[in-house]
Amino acid sequence: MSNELDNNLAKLRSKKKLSQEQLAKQIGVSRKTISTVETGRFTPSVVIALKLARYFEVPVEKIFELDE
Amino acid sequence: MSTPINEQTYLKRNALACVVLGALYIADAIYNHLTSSVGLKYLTFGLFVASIIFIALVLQSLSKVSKRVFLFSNFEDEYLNHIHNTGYKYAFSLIATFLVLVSITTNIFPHLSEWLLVREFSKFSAGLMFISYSLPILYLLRADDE
Repeated sequence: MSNELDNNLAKLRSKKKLSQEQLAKQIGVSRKTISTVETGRFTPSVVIALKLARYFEVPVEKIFELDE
Repeated sequence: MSTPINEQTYLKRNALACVVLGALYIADAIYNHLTSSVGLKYLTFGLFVASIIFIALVLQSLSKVSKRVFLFSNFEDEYLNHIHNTGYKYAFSLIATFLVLVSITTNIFPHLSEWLLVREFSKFSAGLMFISYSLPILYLLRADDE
């Protein structure tokens, strides 16, 4: 299931020059959550996806997309 | 305050305590039932001391997480919740398989059920359950992508 989901989180994060730890603090999750989402090992909930979208000021589809 | 870092520390210490407790239960069951080697006796004692230390560490980190985490294993951090549930899943699968296999084996070889002692068998099963719960958690919490 998680293999079907692609994400641009690492790109967006590096654009903002943030570390995983800093982003995790901003979103209110553990650094592990950010790192596993970035590598596609963990699919986050809609809540986290929306929090990320709000933080990066982009639509959710810009962060997560289905790998077709 | 229950922050993701505090929850992660608690979960890690809890998993480490479970590994030590699991090893203690298994070593004790083997020592009492199969062999009375001095080496295993010392190992059991060492594991007993280590388990006390780890339980103290768990209790220490418990003060920094919310009661929901302790009582209902309801972690606020999603990934920690996910790996905690993964631990449960592995523990259930392994212990269920083990118990079914023991049940089938003792049906085929009834003399084995006379040889098995309830106390030692329970200890061994509990040890297996603790270890199969904690190892996946420690694996998924390993420090990568730093």
